[in-house]
Amino acid sequence: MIHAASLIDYLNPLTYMSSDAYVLIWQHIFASVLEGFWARFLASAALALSFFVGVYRQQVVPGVIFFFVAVAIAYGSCITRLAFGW
Amino acid sequence: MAKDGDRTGHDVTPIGIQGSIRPKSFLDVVSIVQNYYLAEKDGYELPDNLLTLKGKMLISEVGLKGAAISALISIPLTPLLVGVVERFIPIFGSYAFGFFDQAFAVVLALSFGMGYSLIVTHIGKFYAGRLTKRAINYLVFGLMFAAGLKLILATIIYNSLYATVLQEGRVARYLLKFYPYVSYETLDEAYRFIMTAKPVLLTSTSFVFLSTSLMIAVPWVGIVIGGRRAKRTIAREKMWQ
Repeated sequence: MIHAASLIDYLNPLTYMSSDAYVLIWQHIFASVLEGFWARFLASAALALSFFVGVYRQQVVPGVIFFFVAVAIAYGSCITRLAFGW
Repeated sequence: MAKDGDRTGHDVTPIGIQGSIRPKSFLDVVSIVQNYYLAEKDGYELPDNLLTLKGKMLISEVGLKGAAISALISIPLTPLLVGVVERFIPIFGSYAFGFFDQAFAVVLALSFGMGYSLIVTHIGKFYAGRLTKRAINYLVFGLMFAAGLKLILATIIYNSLYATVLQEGRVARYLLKFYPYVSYETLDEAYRFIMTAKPVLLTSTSFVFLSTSLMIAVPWVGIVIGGRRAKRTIAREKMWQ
């Protein structure tokens, strides 16, 4: 039988990995999404979508959201480095 | 409204702006312009008073609001872009960027203003008929007015930041307030970064001038091309009637 307390413990990743390993995973995720090829690909796709949705389909709000996603990906790495010192 | 004795064709009832909906967004203005266009392309003479002073102001307000939002976004973003192009600010987490990264930064900075201009360009296909043209002109004048204000505001902000706010002594005094909470080395690094990246603000002024010119020129180009197309379509439809 699974106790509620053990379930809560399971939800805490630090029970089965070290805090360094946990931080490393997040650093790897941020580095994969905000740097290198995937960052360029995702940012270009978001910008292209912002033009397609905002200008061609004339749905301004989703277009603006895609634009900000492109900005966040382009400058995200710089911001996370400033914020977390990674 | 129908032509004399003609009860068979589709009737178009142009609506006064304040009598119908208050145009809040660009799409509202498009529907008003479309309404005028549908009436005028069939040869109906719409009275001048249909587009009242209040109506003109409301249409201009829509163009003005769109350009103002674009200004709010592009004024803080432009120095970031120029910083990337001049290799002061990293993009995609790297200072070692190539042509794609620099081009992406330029496109990103231009895209918001250009996006709005391209949306306005769509309305060019209705640029035929006296009242329709007038309504479109008021929309674009509102956009141009806000774009001009944006240029003036950006010039004032960037130049006053460069000449007064970011003076060497003032920046040093401000940064020293964070000591000893922030280490002296970090503060020194921040000071050096601000001083070397400061000229980016002057380049940004020229860039805003360029982007604003594009933002004004693109809708007019679209309107001229769209207007010619609209005239050709009307002439073709008359020929077949």
